[in-house]
Amino acid sequence: MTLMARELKASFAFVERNFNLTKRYWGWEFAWLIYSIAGALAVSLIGRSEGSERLLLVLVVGAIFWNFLSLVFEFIAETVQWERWEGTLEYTFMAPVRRYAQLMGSAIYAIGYGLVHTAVVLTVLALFFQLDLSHANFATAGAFILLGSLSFMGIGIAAAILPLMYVERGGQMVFVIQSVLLLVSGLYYPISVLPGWMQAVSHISPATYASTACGPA
Amino acid sequence: MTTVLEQVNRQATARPEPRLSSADATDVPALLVEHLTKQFMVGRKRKPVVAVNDVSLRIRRGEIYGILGANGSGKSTLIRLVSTLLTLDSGRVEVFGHDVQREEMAVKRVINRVSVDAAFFKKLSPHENLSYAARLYGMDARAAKQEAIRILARLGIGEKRLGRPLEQMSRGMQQKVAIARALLTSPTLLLLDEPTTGLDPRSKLDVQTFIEEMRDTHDATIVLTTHDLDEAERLCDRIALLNDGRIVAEDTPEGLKTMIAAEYGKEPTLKSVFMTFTGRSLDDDIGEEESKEDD
Repeated sequence: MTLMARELKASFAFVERNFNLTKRYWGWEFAWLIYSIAGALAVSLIGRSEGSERLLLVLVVGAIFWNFLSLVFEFIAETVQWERWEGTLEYTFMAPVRRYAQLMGSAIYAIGYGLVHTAVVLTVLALFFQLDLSHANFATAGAFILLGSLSFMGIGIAAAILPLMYVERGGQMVFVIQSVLLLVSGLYYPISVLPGWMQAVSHISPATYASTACGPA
Repeated sequence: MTTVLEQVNRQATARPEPRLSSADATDVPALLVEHLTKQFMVGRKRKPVVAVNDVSLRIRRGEIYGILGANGSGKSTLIRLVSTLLTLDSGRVEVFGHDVQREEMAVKRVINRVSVDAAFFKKLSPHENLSYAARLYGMDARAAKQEAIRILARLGIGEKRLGRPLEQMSRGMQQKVAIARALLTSPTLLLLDEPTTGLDPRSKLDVQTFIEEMRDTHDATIVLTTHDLDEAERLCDRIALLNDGRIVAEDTPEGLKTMIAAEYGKEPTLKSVFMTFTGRSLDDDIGEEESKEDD
Protein backbone atom coordinates (compact mmCIF):
# COMPACT_ATOMS: atom_id res chain seq x y z
CA MET A 1 0.00 0.00 0.00
CA THR A 2 1.44 3.37 -0.93
CA LEU A 3 2.11 5.91 1.77
CA MET A 4 -0.62 8.21 0.44
CA ALA A 5 -3.22 5.43 0.34
CA ARG A 6 -2.33 4.42 3.89
CA GLU A 7 -2.60 7.97 5.15
CA LEU A 8 -5.92 8.45 3.35
CA LYS A 9 -7.22 5.27 4.95
CA ALA A 10 -5.99 6.48 8.33
CA SER A 11 -7.63 9.87 7.81
CA PHE A 12 -10.96 8.04 7.36
CA ALA A 13 -10.56 6.92 10.99
CA PHE A 14 -11.10 10.53 12.01
CA VAL A 15 -14.04 11.02 9.63
CA GLU A 16 -15.80 7.94 11.01
CA ARG A 17 -14.94 8.81 14.61
CA ASN A 18 -16.27 12.36 14.27
CA PHE A 19 -19.42 11.06 12.61
CA ASN A 20 -19.94 8.66 15.51
CA LEU A 21 -19.37 11.46 18.01
CA THR A 22 -21.92 13.66 16.21
CA LYS A 23 -24.38 10.77 16.32
CA ARG A 24 -23.80 10.14 20.03
CA TYR A 25 -24.07 13.83 20.91
CA TRP A 26 -27.23 14.24 18.79
CA GLY A 27 -29.02 16.15 21.54
CA TRP A 28 -26.31 18.80 21.61
CA GLU A 29 -26.13 18.81 17.80
CA PHE A 30 -29.85 19.54 17.66
CA ALA A 31 -29.51 22.27 20.30
CA TRP A 32 -26.59 23.82 18.40
CA LEU A 33 -28.57 23.74 15.15
CA ILE A 34 -31.46 25.56 16.82
CA TYR A 35 -29.02 28.10 18.25
CA SER A 36 -27.48 28.66 14.80
CA ILE A 37 -30.89 29.10 13.19
CA ALA A 38 -32.00 31.50 15.92
CA GLY A 39 -28.77 33.51 15.59
CA ALA A 40 -29.06 33.73 11.80
CA LEU A 41 -32.73 34.73 12.03
CA ALA A 42 -32.02 37.35 14.71
CA VAL A 43 -29.32 39.00 12.60
CA SER A 44 -31.33 38.80 9.36
CA LEU A 45 -34.47 40.27 10.99
CA ILE A 46 -32.58 43.56 11.36
CA GLY A 47 -32.76 43.79 7.54
CA ARG A 48 -36.49 43.08 7.59
CA SER A 49 -37.08 45.70 10.30
CA GLU A 50 -35.25 48.28 8.19
CA GLY A 51 -37.53 47.40 5.28
CA SER A 52 -34.54 46.84 3.04
CA GLU A 53 -34.56 43.67 0.97
CA ARG A 54 -30.94 44.31 -0.03
CA LEU A 55 -29.83 44.60 3.60
CA LEU A 56 -31.85 41.49 4.41
CA LEU A 57 -29.99 39.55 1.71
CA VAL A 58 -26.61 40.86 2.85
CA LEU A 59 -27.35 39.73 6.40
CA VAL A 60 -28.69 36.34 5.29
CA VAL A 61 -25.61 35.71 3.14
CA GLY A 62 -23.35 36.87 5.98
CA ALA A 63 -25.09 34.62 8.50
CA ILE A 64 -24.96 31.59 6.18
CA PHE A 65 -21.37 32.27 5.29
CA TRP A 66 -20.25 32.65 8.89
CA ASN A 67 -22.19 29.58 9.97
CA PHE A 68 -20.27 27.45 7.51
CA LEU A 69 -16.81 28.98 7.98
CA SER A 70 -17.01 29.06 11.77
CA LEU A 71 -18.02 25.37 11.85
CA VAL A 72 -15.11 24.41 9.62
CA PHE A 73 -12.73 26.53 11.71
CA GLU A 74 -14.03 25.14 15.02
CA PHE A 75 -13.84 21.52 13.97
CA ILE A 76 -10.25 21.79 12.81
CA ALA A 77 -8.97 24.18 15.45
CA GLU A 78 -10.48 22.08 18.24
CA THR A 79 -9.15 18.76 16.91
CA VAL A 80 -6.46 18.62 19.58
CA GLN A 81 -8.60 20.27 22.26
CA TRP A 82 -11.33 17.63 21.88
CA GLU A 83 -8.87 14.83 22.39
CA ARG A 84 -7.49 16.57 25.44
CA TRP A 85 -10.97 16.83 26.95
CA GLU A 86 -11.73 13.20 26.19
CA GLY A 87 -8.32 12.02 27.43
CA THR A 88 -7.50 10.27 24.16
CA LEU A 89 -4.72 12.59 22.97
CA GLU A 90 -1.88 10.27 23.94
CA TYR A 91 -3.57 7.27 22.34
CA THR A 92 -4.06 9.08 19.04
CA PHE A 93 -0.56 10.55 19.08
CA MET A 94 0.93 7.13 19.74
CA ALA A 95 -0.78 5.59 16.70
CA PRO A 96 1.22 5.23 13.48
CA VAL A 97 -0.59 8.12 11.82
CA ARG A 98 0.96 11.34 10.62
CA ARG A 99 -0.52 14.56 11.91
CA TYR A 100 -1.48 15.68 8.43
CA ALA A 101 -3.62 12.55 8.04
CA GLN A 102 -5.41 13.47 11.26
CA LEU A 103 -5.95 17.05 10.12
CA MET A 104 -7.04 15.88 6.66
CA GLY A 105 -9.66 13.58 8.23
CA SER A 106 -10.88 16.36 10.51
CA ALA A 107 -11.06 18.79 7.57
CA ILE A 108 -13.01 16.37 5.35
CA TYR A 109 -15.56 15.77 8.09
CA ALA A 110 -15.71 19.47 8.97
CA ILE A 111 -16.63 20.41 5.39
CA GLY A 112 -19.26 17.66 5.12
CA TYR A 113 -20.75 18.54 8.51
CA GLY A 114 -20.62 22.27 7.75
CA LEU A 115 -22.38 21.83 4.42
CA VAL A 116 -25.25 19.79 5.90
CA HIS A 117 -25.61 22.13 8.90
CA THR A 118 -25.53 25.25 6.72
CA ALA A 119 -27.97 23.78 4.20
CA VAL A 120 -30.51 23.32 7.00
CA VAL A 121 -29.99 26.90 8.23
CA LEU A 122 -30.29 28.27 4.68
CA THR A 123 -33.49 26.29 4.06
CA VAL A 124 -35.07 27.65 7.25
CA LEU A 125 -34.03 31.22 6.42
CA ALA A 126 -35.30 30.91 2.84
CA LEU A 127 -38.68 29.64 4.07
CA PHE A 128 -38.91 32.18 6.89
CA PHE A 129 -38.16 35.21 4.71
CA GLN A 130 -39.70 33.63 1.58
CA LEU A 131 -36.50 34.36 -0.27
CA ASP A 132 -36.48 33.91 -4.01
CA LEU A 133 -33.34 31.90 -4.57
CA SER A 134 -34.16 31.11 -8.20
CA HIS A 135 -31.72 33.77 -9.40
CA ALA A 136 -28.98 32.82 -6.95
CA ASN A 137 -25.78 31.60 -8.50
CA PHE A 138 -25.14 28.62 -6.23
CA ALA A 139 -22.15 27.41 -8.25
CA THR A 140 -20.26 30.69 -7.84
CA ALA A 141 -21.27 31.02 -4.20
CA GLY A 142 -20.21 27.42 -3.60
CA ALA A 143 -16.85 28.01 -5.28
CA PHE A 144 -16.12 31.05 -3.08
CA ILE A 145 -17.30 29.26 0.05
CA LEU A 146 -14.96 26.40 -0.81
CA LEU A 147 -12.07 28.80 -1.39
CA GLY A 148 -12.87 30.59 1.85
CA SER A 149 -13.07 27.30 3.74
CA LEU A 150 -9.67 26.21 2.41
CA SER A 151 -8.15 29.37 3.82
CA PHE A 152 -10.05 28.92 7.07
CA MET A 153 -8.74 25.37 7.28
CA GLY A 154 -5.22 26.79 7.13
CA ILE A 155 -5.91 29.16 10.00
CA GLY A 156 -7.71 26.34 11.84
CA ILE A 157 -4.70 24.04 11.49
CA ALA A 158 -2.41 26.76 12.82
CA ALA A 159 -4.82 27.39 15.71
CA ALA A 160 -5.08 23.66 16.47
CA ILE A 161 -1.47 23.74 17.64
CA LEU A 162 -2.25 26.30 20.36
CA PRO A 163 -3.82 23.81 22.82
CA LEU A 164 -0.67 21.71 22.46
CA MET A 165 1.63 24.64 23.17
CA TYR A 166 -0.47 26.18 25.92
CA VAL A 167 -2.35 23.48 27.79
CA GLU A 168 -4.63 25.78 29.79
CA ARG A 169 -4.92 28.81 27.51
CA GLY A 170 -4.79 27.23 24.04
CA GLY A 171 -8.53 26.61 23.76
CA GLN A 172 -9.28 30.15 24.89
CA MET A 173 -6.88 31.54 22.28
CA VAL A 174 -8.73 29.60 19.55
CA PHE A 175 -12.00 31.15 20.69
CA VAL A 176 -10.49 34.66 20.60
CA ILE A 177 -9.13 34.12 17.06
CA GLN A 178 -12.58 33.01 15.90
CA SER A 179 -14.22 36.05 17.47
CA VAL A 180 -11.74 38.47 15.88
CA LEU A 181 -12.26 36.88 12.45
CA LEU A 182 -16.02 37.44 12.78
CA LEU A 183 -15.55 41.07 13.79
CA VAL A 184 -13.08 42.13 11.11
CA SER A 185 -14.32 40.16 8.09
CA GLY A 186 -17.22 42.46 7.26
CA LEU A 187 -19.76 39.68 6.92
CA TYR A 188 -22.70 41.87 8.00
CA TYR A 189 -21.35 45.31 7.09
CA PRO A 190 -18.78 46.83 4.74
CA ILE A 191 -15.29 46.88 6.24
CA SER A 192 -15.16 50.61 5.49
CA VAL A 193 -17.19 51.21 8.69
CA LEU A 194 -14.41 49.67 10.79
CA PRO A 195 -11.71 51.80 12.43
CA GLY A 196 -8.55 52.06 10.34
CA TRP A 197 -6.52 49.55 12.35
CA MET A 198 -9.35 47.01 12.15
CA GLN A 199 -9.55 47.47 8.39
CA ALA A 200 -5.86 46.60 8.26
CA VAL A 201 -6.53 43.42 10.24
CA SER A 202 -9.49 42.57 7.99
CA HIS A 203 -7.09 42.14 5.07
CA ILE A 204 -5.59 39.04 6.67
CA SER A 205 -8.98 37.35 7.10
CA PRO A 206 -9.91 35.10 4.16
CA ALA A 207 -13.57 35.59 5.04
CA THR A 208 -13.28 39.27 3.99
CA TYR A 209 -12.44 38.33 0.41
CA ALA A 210 -14.76 35.33 0.21
CA SER A 211 -17.79 37.22 1.52
CA THR A 212 -17.14 40.18 -0.77
CA ALA A 213 -16.93 37.87 -3.76
CA CYS A 214 -19.91 35.80 -2.65
CA GLY A 215 -22.30 38.73 -2.19
CA PRO A 216 -23.16 39.30 -5.86
CA ALA A 217 -23.59 35.55 -6.40
CA MET B 1 -9.47 -19.49 9.04
CA THR B 2 -6.71 -17.18 10.27
CA THR B 3 -7.58 -14.40 12.67
CA VAL B 4 -6.57 -10.76 12.25
CA LEU B 5 -4.25 -11.18 15.20
CA GLU B 6 -2.43 -14.04 13.46
CA GLN B 7 -2.29 -12.16 10.14
CA VAL B 8 -0.78 -9.06 11.70
CA ASN B 9 1.59 -11.17 13.79
CA ARG B 10 2.79 -12.81 10.61
CA GLN B 11 3.29 -9.40 8.98
CA ALA B 12 5.17 -8.16 12.01
CA THR B 13 7.39 -11.22 12.00
CA ALA B 14 8.01 -10.84 8.27
CA ARG B 15 8.99 -7.19 8.68
CA PRO B 16 12.71 -6.83 7.89
CA GLU B 17 14.91 -5.68 10.75
CA PRO B 18 17.09 -2.78 9.61
CA ARG B 19 20.84 -2.70 10.06
CA LEU B 20 20.97 -6.34 11.09
CA SER B 21 21.77 -9.59 9.39
CA SER B 22 19.33 -12.48 9.88
CA ALA B 23 21.87 -14.19 12.10
CA ASP B 24 21.87 -11.18 14.41
CA ALA B 25 18.08 -10.76 14.40
CA THR B 26 17.53 -13.13 17.31
CA ASP B 27 19.89 -11.01 19.43
CA VAL B 28 17.90 -7.83 18.86
CA PRO B 29 16.30 -6.95 22.18
CA ALA B 30 12.60 -6.16 22.17
CA LEU B 31 13.46 -2.99 24.05
CA LEU B 32 16.85 -1.42 24.52
CA VAL B 33 17.21 1.64 26.72
CA GLU B 34 20.65 3.14 27.20
CA HIS B 35 21.49 5.97 29.58
CA LEU B 36 18.06 7.53 29.17
CA THR B 37 17.46 10.81 30.93
CA LYS B 38 14.41 13.06 30.92
CA GLN B 39 13.75 16.15 32.97
CA PHE B 40 10.83 18.55 33.13
CA MET B 41 10.68 22.20 34.07
CA VAL B 42 8.08 22.54 36.80
CA GLY B 43 6.25 25.51 38.21
CA ARG B 44 6.52 29.24 37.59
CA LYS B 45 10.21 29.23 38.49
CA ARG B 46 10.80 26.51 35.90
CA LYS B 47 12.54 24.33 38.43
CA PRO B 48 14.11 21.28 36.74
CA VAL B 49 12.85 17.90 37.96
CA VAL B 50 14.63 14.78 36.72
CA ALA B 51 11.93 12.19 36.05
CA VAL B 52 14.13 9.54 34.45
CA ASN B 53 17.79 9.52 35.40
CA ASP B 54 20.37 7.57 33.37
CA VAL B 55 18.18 4.48 32.98
CA SER B 56 19.47 1.48 31.01
CA LEU B 57 17.41 -1.64 30.26
CA ARG B 58 17.64 -4.57 27.89
CA ILE B 59 14.41 -6.55 27.53
CA ARG B 60 14.43 -9.81 25.63
CA ARG B 61 11.78 -10.81 23.12
CA GLY B 62 8.90 -12.69 24.78
CA GLU B 63 9.69 -11.46 28.28
CA ILE B 64 7.26 -9.93 30.74
CA TYR B 65 9.32 -7.22 32.34
CA GLY B 66 8.02 -5.49 35.41
CA ILE B 67 8.83 -1.97 36.53
CA LEU B 68 8.04 -1.36 40.18
CA GLY B 69 8.16 2.07 41.69
CA ALA B 70 6.34 4.41 44.01
CA ASN B 71 4.24 7.30 42.75
CA GLY B 72 6.45 9.83 40.99
CA SER B 73 9.33 7.40 40.57
CA GLY B 74 9.34 7.88 36.78
CA LYS B 75 7.50 4.72 35.61
CA SER B 76 4.95 6.44 33.41
CA THR B 77 7.53 8.90 32.03
CA LEU B 78 9.66 5.94 31.01
CA ILE B 79 6.68 4.32 29.28
CA ARG B 80 5.86 7.60 27.50
CA LEU B 81 9.43 7.92 26.28
CA VAL B 82 9.35 4.41 24.86
CA SER B 83 5.97 5.02 23.23
CA THR B 84 7.28 8.11 21.37
CA LEU B 85 5.07 10.53 23.32
CA LEU B 86 8.01 12.40 24.84
CA THR B 87 11.33 13.40 23.37
CA LEU B 88 14.52 12.14 25.00
CA ASP B 89 16.88 14.60 26.69
CA SER B 90 19.75 12.19 26.34
CA GLY B 91 20.34 8.50 25.83
CA ARG B 92 18.95 6.03 23.34
CA VAL B 93 15.80 3.90 23.07
CA GLU B 94 15.33 1.16 20.47
CA VAL B 95 12.30 -1.07 19.94
CA PHE B 96 13.22 -4.20 17.99
CA GLY B 97 16.19 -2.32 16.58
CA HIS B 98 14.17 0.77 15.59
CA ASP B 99 15.34 4.02 17.14
CA VAL B 100 12.36 5.84 18.72
CA GLN B 101 13.54 9.22 17.49
CA ARG B 102 14.80 8.44 14.00
CA GLU B 103 12.28 5.70 13.14
CA GLU B 104 9.25 6.90 15.05
CA MET B 105 6.62 5.46 12.68
CA ALA B 106 8.29 2.04 12.59
CA VAL B 107 8.25 1.98 16.39
CA LYS B 108 4.61 3.09 16.53
CA ARG B 109 3.57 0.20 14.28
CA VAL B 110 4.92 -2.46 16.64
CA ILE B 111 3.93 -1.03 20.03
CA ASN B 112 0.71 -0.39 21.88
CA ARG B 113 -0.03 0.81 25.36
CA VAL B 114 -2.68 0.40 28.01
CA SER B 115 -2.59 3.26 30.48
CA VAL B 116 -3.97 3.43 33.98
CA ASP B 117 -6.92 5.49 32.79
CA ALA B 118 -8.70 3.80 29.89
CA ALA B 119 -8.29 6.52 27.26
CA PHE B 120 -11.49 6.33 25.26
CA PHE B 121 -14.15 8.50 23.76
CA LYS B 122 -16.53 7.66 26.57
CA LYS B 123 -19.67 8.58 24.62
CA LEU B 124 -18.74 6.09 21.92
CA SER B 125 -19.38 2.38 22.24
CA PRO B 126 -16.59 -0.21 22.46
CA HIS B 127 -17.35 -1.11 18.83
CA GLU B 128 -16.93 2.49 17.71
CA ASN B 129 -13.76 3.00 19.73
CA LEU B 130 -12.26 -0.24 18.48
CA SER B 131 -13.19 0.56 14.89
CA TYR B 132 -11.37 3.89 15.29
CA ALA B 133 -8.30 2.08 16.67
CA ALA B 134 -8.36 -0.49 13.86
CA ARG B 135 -8.44 2.19 11.18
CA LEU B 136 -5.63 4.14 12.84
CA TYR B 137 -3.48 1.04 12.59
CA GLY B 138 -4.49 0.37 8.97
CA MET B 139 -6.60 -2.68 9.75
CA ASP B 140 -9.81 -3.77 8.07
CA ALA B 141 -12.52 -2.51 10.42
CA ARG B 142 -14.92 -5.41 9.80
CA ALA B 143 -12.31 -8.09 10.41
CA ALA B 144 -11.05 -6.16 13.42
CA LYS B 145 -14.58 -6.12 14.83
CA GLN B 146 -14.75 -9.92 14.75
CA GLU B 147 -11.38 -10.13 16.41
CA ALA B 148 -12.45 -7.63 19.08
CA ILE B 149 -15.55 -9.70 19.80
CA ARG B 150 -13.35 -12.77 20.28
CA ILE B 151 -10.88 -10.99 22.60
CA LEU B 152 -13.60 -9.33 24.65
CA ALA B 153 -15.51 -12.59 24.98
CA ARG B 154 -12.32 -14.09 26.39
CA LEU B 155 -12.23 -11.21 28.89
CA GLY B 156 -15.84 -11.84 29.89
CA ILE B 157 -17.59 -9.09 27.92
CA GLY B 158 -20.44 -10.31 25.75
CA GLU B 159 -21.20 -9.00 22.26
CA LYS B 160 -24.48 -7.38 23.32
CA ARG B 161 -22.59 -4.96 25.62
CA LEU B 162 -20.46 -3.64 22.77
CA GLY B 163 -23.00 -1.24 21.31
CA ARG B 164 -23.55 0.85 24.44
CA PRO B 165 -21.52 3.94 25.32
CA LEU B 166 -18.40 3.17 27.32
CA GLU B 167 -19.45 5.67 29.99
CA GLN B 168 -22.15 3.17 30.96
CA MET B 169 -19.57 0.48 31.66
CA SER B 170 -17.71 -0.11 34.91
CA ARG B 171 -14.09 0.91 35.20
CA GLY B 172 -13.06 -2.74 35.12
CA MET B 173 -14.94 -3.35 31.89
CA GLN B 174 -13.49 -0.18 30.34
CA GLN B 175 -10.00 -1.41 31.17
CA LYS B 176 -10.75 -4.76 29.56
CA VAL B 177 -11.87 -2.97 26.40
CA ALA B 178 -8.60 -0.98 26.54
CA ILE B 179 -6.65 -4.23 26.67
CA ALA B 180 -8.69 -5.64 23.77
CA ARG B 181 -7.95 -2.48 21.80
CA ALA B 182 -4.23 -2.83 22.42
CA LEU B 183 -4.24 -6.49 21.44
CA LEU B 184 -6.29 -5.81 18.33
CA THR B 185 -3.27 -4.21 16.68
CA SER B 186 -1.08 -7.20 17.58
CA PRO B 187 1.76 -5.23 19.12
CA THR B 188 5.05 -7.06 19.45
CA LEU B 189 5.85 -4.75 22.36
CA LEU B 190 2.93 -4.13 24.70
CA LEU B 191 3.32 -1.43 27.33
CA LEU B 192 0.98 -1.98 30.26
CA ASP B 193 1.08 1.07 32.51
CA GLU B 194 -0.64 -0.02 35.73
CA PRO B 195 -3.39 -1.87 33.84
CA THR B 196 -5.05 -3.30 36.94
CA THR B 197 -4.90 -0.26 39.22
CA GLY B 198 -8.36 0.49 40.58
CA LEU B 199 -9.95 -2.71 39.29
CA ASP B 200 -12.12 -4.95 41.44
CA PRO B 201 -10.49 -8.29 42.43
CA ARG B 202 -12.43 -10.27 39.85
CA SER B 203 -11.52 -7.94 36.97
CA LYS B 204 -7.92 -7.81 38.17
CA LEU B 205 -7.72 -11.59 38.13
CA ASP B 206 -9.29 -11.74 34.63
CA VAL B 207 -6.74 -9.25 33.28
CA GLN B 208 -3.80 -11.00 34.95
CA THR B 209 -4.88 -14.39 33.61
CA PHE B 210 -5.25 -12.89 30.16
CA ILE B 211 -1.74 -11.42 30.31
CA GLU B 212 -0.39 -14.86 31.20
CA GLU B 213 -2.35 -16.41 28.35
CA MET B 214 -1.01 -13.78 25.98
CA ARG B 215 2.56 -14.54 26.99
CA ASP B 216 1.97 -18.22 26.29
CA THR B 217 0.12 -17.89 22.99
CA HIS B 218 1.41 -14.75 21.26
CA ASP B 219 4.74 -13.38 20.22
CA ALA B 220 4.44 -10.36 22.46
CA THR B 221 6.94 -8.79 24.80
CA ILE B 222 5.27 -7.03 27.71
CA VAL B 223 6.50 -4.17 29.87
CA LEU B 224 4.32 -3.95 32.95
CA THR B 225 4.41 -1.13 35.46
CA THR B 226 2.51 -1.85 38.62
CA HIS B 227 2.01 -1.03 42.26
CA ASP B 228 0.87 -4.54 42.96
CA LEU B 229 3.77 -6.64 44.23
CA ASP B 230 1.83 -9.91 44.04
CA GLU B 231 0.95 -9.12 40.45
CA ALA B 232 4.58 -8.38 39.61
CA GLU B 233 5.72 -11.61 41.24
CA ARG B 234 3.06 -13.64 39.49
CA LEU B 235 3.49 -12.24 35.99
CA CYS B 236 7.00 -10.91 35.54
CA ASP B 237 10.05 -12.79 34.36
CA ARG B 238 12.27 -9.93 35.54
CA ILE B 239 11.62 -6.85 37.61
CA ALA B 240 13.35 -3.48 37.80
CA LEU B 241 12.90 -1.31 40.88
CA LEU B 242 12.69 2.36 39.99
CA ASN B 243 13.34 5.01 42.64
CA ASP B 244 13.58 8.75 41.94
CA GLY B 245 14.03 8.06 38.24
CA ARG B 246 16.87 5.56 38.71
CA ILE B 247 16.90 1.79 38.50
CA VAL B 248 18.14 0.63 41.88
CA ALA B 249 17.84 -3.13 41.31
CA GLU B 250 16.97 -5.51 38.50
CA ASP B 251 16.62 -9.28 38.46
CA THR B 252 14.08 -12.10 38.47
CA PRO B 253 11.68 -12.01 41.46
CA GLU B 254 13.62 -14.85 43.04
CA GLY B 255 16.92 -13.18 42.19
CA LEU B 256 15.85 -9.97 43.90
CA LYS B 257 14.88 -11.88 47.03
CA THR B 258 18.19 -13.71 47.02
CA MET B 259 20.01 -10.36 46.91
CA ILE B 260 18.66 -9.39 50.33
CA ALA B 261 18.17 -12.84 51.86
CA ALA B 262 21.44 -12.78 53.82
CA GLU B 263 20.91 -9.46 55.55
CA TYR B 264 17.14 -9.85 55.91
CA GLY B 265 17.43 -12.91 58.11
CA LYS B 266 14.10 -14.54 57.31
CA GLU B 267 12.46 -15.51 54.00
CA PRO B 268 12.25 -12.20 52.08
CA THR B 269 9.17 -11.07 50.20
CA LEU B 270 9.04 -8.73 47.20
CA LYS B 271 7.73 -6.09 49.57
CA SER B 272 10.82 -6.36 51.74
CA VAL B 273 12.96 -6.25 48.61
CA PHE B 274 11.27 -3.02 47.57
CA MET B 275 11.72 -1.45 51.01
CA THR B 276 15.36 -2.50 51.19
CA PHE B 277 16.28 -0.96 47.85
CA THR B 278 14.12 2.17 47.90
CA GLY B 279 13.88 2.89 51.61
CA ARG B 280 10.14 3.35 51.35
CA SER B 281 6.95 1.33 51.35
CA LEU B 282 4.93 1.01 48.21
CA ASP B 283 1.80 0.51 50.31
CA ASP B 284 2.29 3.86 52.06
CA ASP B 285 2.38 5.66 48.72
CA ILE B 286 -0.72 3.91 47.48
CA GLY B 287 -2.44 4.76 50.73
CA GLU B 288 -1.59 8.43 50.28
CA GLU B 289 -2.96 8.39 46.77
CA GLU B 290 -6.18 6.73 47.83
CA SER B 291 -6.71 9.16 50.68
CA LYS B 292 -6.23 12.04 48.23
CA GLU B 293 -8.87 10.51 45.98
CA ASP B 294 -11.21 10.14 48.91
CA ASP B 295 -10.75 13.83 49.71
